[in-house]
Parts: sequence; C-alpha cells; structure tokens
Amino acid sequence: MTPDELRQYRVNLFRDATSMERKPDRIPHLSNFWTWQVLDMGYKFSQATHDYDVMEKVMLGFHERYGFDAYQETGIRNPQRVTETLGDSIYVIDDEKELFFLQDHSYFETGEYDELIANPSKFVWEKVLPRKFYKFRPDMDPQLMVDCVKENQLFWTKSFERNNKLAEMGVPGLISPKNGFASLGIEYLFSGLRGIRGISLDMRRVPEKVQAACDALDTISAEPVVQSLMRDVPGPDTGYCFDMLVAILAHTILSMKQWEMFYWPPLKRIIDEVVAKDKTIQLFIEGSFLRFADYFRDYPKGHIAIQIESDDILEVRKAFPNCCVIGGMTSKLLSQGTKEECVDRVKYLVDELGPKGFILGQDKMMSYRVDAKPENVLAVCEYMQSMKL
Amino acid sequence: MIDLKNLQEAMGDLEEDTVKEILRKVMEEGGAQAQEALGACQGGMDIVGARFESGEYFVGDLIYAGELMTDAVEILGSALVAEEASSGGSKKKMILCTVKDDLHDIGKNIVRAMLQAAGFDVIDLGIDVAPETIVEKAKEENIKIVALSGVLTLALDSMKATVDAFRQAGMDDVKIIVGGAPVTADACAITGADEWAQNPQKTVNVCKAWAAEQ
Repeated sequence: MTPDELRQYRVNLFRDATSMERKPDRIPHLSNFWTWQVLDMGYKFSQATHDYDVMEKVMLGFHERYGFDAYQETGIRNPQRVTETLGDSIYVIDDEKELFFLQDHSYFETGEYDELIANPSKFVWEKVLPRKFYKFRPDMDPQLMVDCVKENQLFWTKSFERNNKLAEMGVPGLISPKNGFASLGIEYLFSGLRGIRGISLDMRRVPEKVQAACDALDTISAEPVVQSLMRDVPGPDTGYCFDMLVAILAHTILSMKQWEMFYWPPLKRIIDEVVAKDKTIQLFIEGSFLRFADYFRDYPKGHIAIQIESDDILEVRKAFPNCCVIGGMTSKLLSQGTKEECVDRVKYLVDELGPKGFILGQDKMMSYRVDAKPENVLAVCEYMQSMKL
Repeated sequence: MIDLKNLQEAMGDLEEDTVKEILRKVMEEGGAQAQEALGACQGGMDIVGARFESGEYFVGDLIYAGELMTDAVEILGSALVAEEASSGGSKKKMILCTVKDDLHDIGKNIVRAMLQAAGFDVIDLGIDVAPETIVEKAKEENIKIVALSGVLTLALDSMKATVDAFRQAGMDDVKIIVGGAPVTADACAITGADEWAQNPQKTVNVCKAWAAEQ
C-alpha cells in the first residue's frame, strides 16, 4: 500500500468499527500513549516539550517502532514553550523523577461568578490569565505578548508539520478538524478555572451560579461547535477516523443530579447534532462511566465511540450496546504481564467484543515508565498488525 | 440545648447553613455540648459515607462534606480543646499522607476529614512524603495505623518503599492501608500493605476495625 492507501485503510478500520454494521478488515488499534512515548524513545519530558525536533523524533520514532493505527496524542497536548512565555507555574515537570502533571488550581473565588457569567471572555482575559501566568499583567511589556503569539504560531506550525510527516507514513488524523474538539462549560470550571475542590464546593453552595457560568462558558465553547455541526454538510469526513471529540472528565466528581444539571444538556445537544448530521463522535472518558449508560440508550448505532478507562470493557459493551467501545488492553497487564499474556488478552477481547464495534486501546493515559513494558506493547502491536478477521 | 438528631441529619444532608447555625448556638451557650455536637456531626458523616457507597453522593459531595466537617471542628475548636485536655486525650492517633513523588491532596483531604469525623487524631504529613519521614514520625508518636494516598501510578512504587521501610525498621505491628486511583487488590499485594481502598468510607471502616483490635 502507498502511504495514502494505508492512511485511508486505517481510517476505514475506525469508520467500519464505529459503524457497528460493517466488519473491519481487522480490529483497529488506537494508541492511548502520552508522555510514556517520550521516555520510551529515550528523551526527557522537558526535552520533548521544549525542543520541537525532539518531539518530532519521539512521535515519528514511536510510530516506526510500534505502528499503531492512530494516535490520541501526537505531541500537541503540552504547549510548554507557549505558556512559559507568560510565566506558567502550574505544571510539575521533574525529569529526574520522570514526573509530569498539573496541579489542581482555582483562579477565581465564589464571589466572582457574576463577572464570569456577564462576560466569560472578558473575565478570562482580565481575571484568570493574570492569576494563571505571573507575567501576564496590565502593565506588562507588550513584547511578551508578541513572543507568546510567535511561540503559539511556531507550536502549531511544528505540530502540523509533524502530523503531515505522520500522514506521509500512513497515519491518519484521529479527529476531523471541521468540527474538531468540544469542551463543555463545566469542564472549563472543573479543570481550568475553578479546580476540583472549588467546583465541588460551588455546586453545593451556589448551584444556580455554577449553572449560569456553565451556560455562559458554553456560549463560547460548546455552542460554536453545535453551530458548526449545523452548518456542516451531512455525512462523515472520511479523511479522518472520527468527526468529533469530546473529553469527559468532570463527571468523575458529579452526582447524578449534578450530571443532569451541569453536564448532560450541552453534551446531549452536541451528540444529537452529530447523529442528525450522520457523523461520528469519540467520547474520551476518564474514570468510570457505567452509571451514565441510560443517557445513551436511545441513540442509534454508528455514531458514538466511547473510550473508557476504569470500567470493565465487557460490562461497558453490555451497558452501551449501541456504541462502539474503545479500550480493553490493561495497563496492569502491559506493565506486569508477559508478552504471551498480553496477546492472549487481545485474542480474548477480539473474540468477546469483535469484529464489529470494537477498537483496541489502553485502559488509561499511558504516562509513566511503569505503565507498560515496551516488549509487551510491541508484542500487542505486532499481533494487531498481522491479524485478519 | 441543641437538637442533636437535627444536627446529625443536617450534616448527612450536607445542609451547611443549618449545621453551622446549630454549632454556633452551641458555642454561644458556652460550649458545654461541643463534644455531643461533634458526635452528631460524626454521625452525619457516617450518613454521608453510606450515601456515597449507595451512589447517591459522589466525589464532589465528599469534598464538600470534608470542608464542612473541617469548618465544624473549627467552630467548636476552643470548647473541644478544653474538653480533650480534661479527658487526657483519648483519640486514636494515626498517620495520613500522600506518598513521595505525588503531589495530589484532594483525595487525602477527603479521607482526613472522614477519619477525623470517625474520631481519629489524624497526623497529616502532607504530600510528597518520603518513607523515612513517615517511619520516623510513626516511631516518635508510637503510631500503629498508617494510611498512604496516591493518584499517580508512580505512587505505587513509593507505597511499596514506605511499607518496606516500616518492615526494615522492625515495625511489623504497624498496620498500613493504601488508597487512591491506581490502587487495586493486585497493586496492594505488590506494595505489601495490609489493606487497600478506593473509597474513603472503606478506609474509615478498616482503620476503625484496626483501632478496635489494638
């Protein structure tokens, strides 16, 4: 196959699996490897995030070594150089200990909700950014902003170049850029603005303010995506594995009542439009999600692919019979099992969940060296590439 | 006199205004009922734990409950200190911390509040705590129960190192429970800990059982 043919072949694997009606040529294999890739390719976290040549070597080398069908992460998750121009201090990167994570932060107080609700963009620019980036101040040197914009342009230029090189190797883009990625208002409050602790207290103390803030944030986050979907022509963008992505994280702290109040309405609005336009959506879900299965029961097959972390994937299949499921390969086995045990697990999953409506993936964001042994990952990848249904 | 049943129910229902109003009344009346009020709050936290286990409450509710319990202890503070001093201090002491190389504290803080509500004197060593620091503190305070928290998969290595440090120090009588997102029965076995939990109520139950045995 030429790279173009291979790319389209891989897209078709994902499209067929998600359709739940067509049998794919083989089970597609999605990489949920994140910073693990950097360590595996012999680099340090700070090297890869600060040197775009290193990041390119990581991503291209990783694909050469393992050959997944598509990648959740191609080096665009952590734009360190951009945020550092303004004085970023929320990431924890320790190359010696091989640590890389974000700390929970709140950038405003409960009493400031009315300002956020009145004008979320203004609030973010004037209140949140100066608190998040210590150099971002009204009296800052304008050159800092110029530097930031330049770094941002460079980041995206390099990211596109990297993705183009992956495409030349037959790797498809995971999500169509036409409608792309949507983040809901509650997610912005949860992980970007108020933090886990802050939003937990606010949902109890001032639920009506949280609701209004979610609505206001949705007008600049979820709603433009809905409008874009409404304007889009019906049918899938067949150059990509999925038409849309929503990352679902905040549900991990929500009660059912809070889910119904803050989360489900905007998410339903997006999924309804995806279905109406005969497109597909990947739901990237952290933690357990089984308790929300009832909300998805009425959607027709062929539109939703759910990527689950904590739940048993066989239980997920039962609970979400109309959704393609992504996952099944456990970090536990990849890190502690043998090559044979890992491949046996794949065979078992294919027997139980395949051939329609199943995409093999890892059951967590693979981040640290201890999350997997390279030889196990390689054994699984080689098996997946050689399998025939 | 305050209505203790009403206070317990308000705590269980997470009715912050009602809880604080009743506790302030206790203090306005001189604090004589502080210990009983704290007991009612602890009873309310048991309700919170049960509702979490049944699925009615979720993690956000536990965070809120933890804050409310912390506030409750603060409101009753001076009266409780006086009473504790007069009784000679009978609470069971234990250590809680997030292990080395892990800086997450939300889960730990939930567990701390629930353990305190269950009557433990919790020595919270904070986050990113080295094994030797925990062992040293346990020796110093004659601690027999230790709870180790972690969110990152890397935390499992630190949990194992901490358990090993206790065993190497000959402190086999110290019971250790590990908890957090990456912790499973298998992970617990690897760390060598005595017990594991992925929800705070189980941690409380295990620690209470251990305290009763000692």
